[in-house]
Amino acid sequence: MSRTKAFLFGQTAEHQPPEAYTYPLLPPPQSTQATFASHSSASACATPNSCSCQPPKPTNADTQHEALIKADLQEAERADGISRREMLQHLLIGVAATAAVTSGCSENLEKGSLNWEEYFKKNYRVMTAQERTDTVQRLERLAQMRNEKKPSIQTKSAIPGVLYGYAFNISKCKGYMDCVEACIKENNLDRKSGMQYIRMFEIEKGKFNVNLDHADGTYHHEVPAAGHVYMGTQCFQCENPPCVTVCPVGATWKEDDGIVVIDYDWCIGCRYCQSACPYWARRFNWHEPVVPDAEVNPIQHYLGNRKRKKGVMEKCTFCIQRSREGKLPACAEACPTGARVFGNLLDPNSEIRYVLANKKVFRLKEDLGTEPKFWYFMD
Amino acid sequence: MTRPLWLLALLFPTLQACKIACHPPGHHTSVHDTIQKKQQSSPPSSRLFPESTTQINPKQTIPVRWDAPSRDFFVHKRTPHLKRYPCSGCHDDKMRYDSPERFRATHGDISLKHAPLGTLQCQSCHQRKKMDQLALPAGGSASFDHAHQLCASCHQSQARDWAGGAHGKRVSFWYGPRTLESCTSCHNPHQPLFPKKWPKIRYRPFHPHKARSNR
Repeated sequence: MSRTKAFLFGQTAEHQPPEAYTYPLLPPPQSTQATFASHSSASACATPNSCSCQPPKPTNADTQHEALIKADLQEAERADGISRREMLQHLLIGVAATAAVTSGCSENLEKGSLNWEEYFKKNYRVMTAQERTDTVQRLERLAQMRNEKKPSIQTKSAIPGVLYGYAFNISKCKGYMDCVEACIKENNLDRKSGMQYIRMFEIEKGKFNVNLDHADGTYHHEVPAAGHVYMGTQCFQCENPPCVTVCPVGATWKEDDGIVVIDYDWCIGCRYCQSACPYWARRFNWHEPVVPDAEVNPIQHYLGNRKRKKGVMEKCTFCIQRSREGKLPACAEACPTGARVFGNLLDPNSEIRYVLANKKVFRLKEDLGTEPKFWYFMD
Repeated sequence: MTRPLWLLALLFPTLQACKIACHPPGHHTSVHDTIQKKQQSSPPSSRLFPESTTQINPKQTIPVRWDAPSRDFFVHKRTPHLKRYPCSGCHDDKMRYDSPERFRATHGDISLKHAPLGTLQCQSCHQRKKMDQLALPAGGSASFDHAHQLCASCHQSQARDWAGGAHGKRVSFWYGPRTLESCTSCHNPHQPLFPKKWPKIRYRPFHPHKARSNR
């Protein structure tokens, strides 16, 4: 089965178009002999499971498609000012729609056209409000078609007058890892590879250095151990993020409220950002993330915890779906010791500003000039 | 004498040119500068947040004024969560210590590990006569909801940080009226040190000194 076709029809195991049927843009099939007139209508089947439809007669379909492509091309040439992307998009939607109609499944028709539109959508930053709404609707519908829990994906943009900052009290943290667990649940992290945004380190007192050379990121015993301190790292949402500078396609950027985000549908998975980040904050999806349906957090953000794909980067976003609603990130809420302080850096009365003004603070690898918005402090 | 001056005059623009080439203006920004620049803008509008961020439930919180009215905040009530409250349900007149057996039968789950052994007794913090109140060391009483007043009489620096925001926990929202957890929501007043326990989940093996990439 060709890759294009697989994409068009989705990778469902229950129903896949028969092997003999090739996508109309590819060379026409020679071997199919049977006629399937009775199955060619779109209403022949409603669900993929009950679908027993077969491919249509290829010769008719081919001429139809060629005519359609020609007509589409002519129309595109006539239309003044139509962009190349739009033209291509219309053309392919038309072809996909025809292919799906002739294959005879309304569900597949819808899925195919949704997938095509998803494939040719813009970078999130240049989308209009309408386009954002449309893509969210498509993503929600596609999740429903995959029989997953229906997500509610927000597109809330940065709130003016807010700059998020985080502080971590290394004399309070006891290494209980409640934050790590809360993060995994909140952000729908891949359970198969055991992905974690937060890393906890156990450091013997007096052996701390900024490169964390003597930090133990593998501890698993009763905590707190005597003579040790604990510190967590995650994405620090740098003011000069090196990961953003190196991205060759502009799939990651810093929002106005200081959060560095990724457009998962624009990322090509080159992992430049991963090697550019001096804080080991970025994660790569080596396979399709696995989250049990019952554990999926349906409250999602387009730039945050929505379903990721195989081969894209992801990272901590200070729980963008929570923080833009005025809530604390999941890690700060879960911490039983109060070691995590989160707030608005622009508000002089905020807790984070109190920490910066009254406590001894430092940031990791400050000499690199990345200017993280994540401070460590001591009592 | 003229030669070094001449050299300096040449060196200065060269260095400036290098500086501009390496760090184009506007490229590197410090958080401090960003805060200075953006602080002029108006504070975030409450219309952009859900209503729940600004709502206060008077049944669960009490208002606290610490130093200045501009820093007023709220504290979660403790009395709804106390197991044996109100104390006057049993102690009709005043606190008595009859026998160790009787104490074990009624308050056996309490073991006092607060301050060096023998420093504190029950009556150091609990009123002997009005049992539903806490006793402040300076005299007077405070309700169980205002436990922070009692804690603050010894732990001044922690109390200052708690009121400021560097100690303790804020409840649910970073936006809206500040609601804090009470001292005794997190610390068991009879054993204020956090207990030893196993981490919630298992680590993902990671060695920073070996990591070239950060899978």
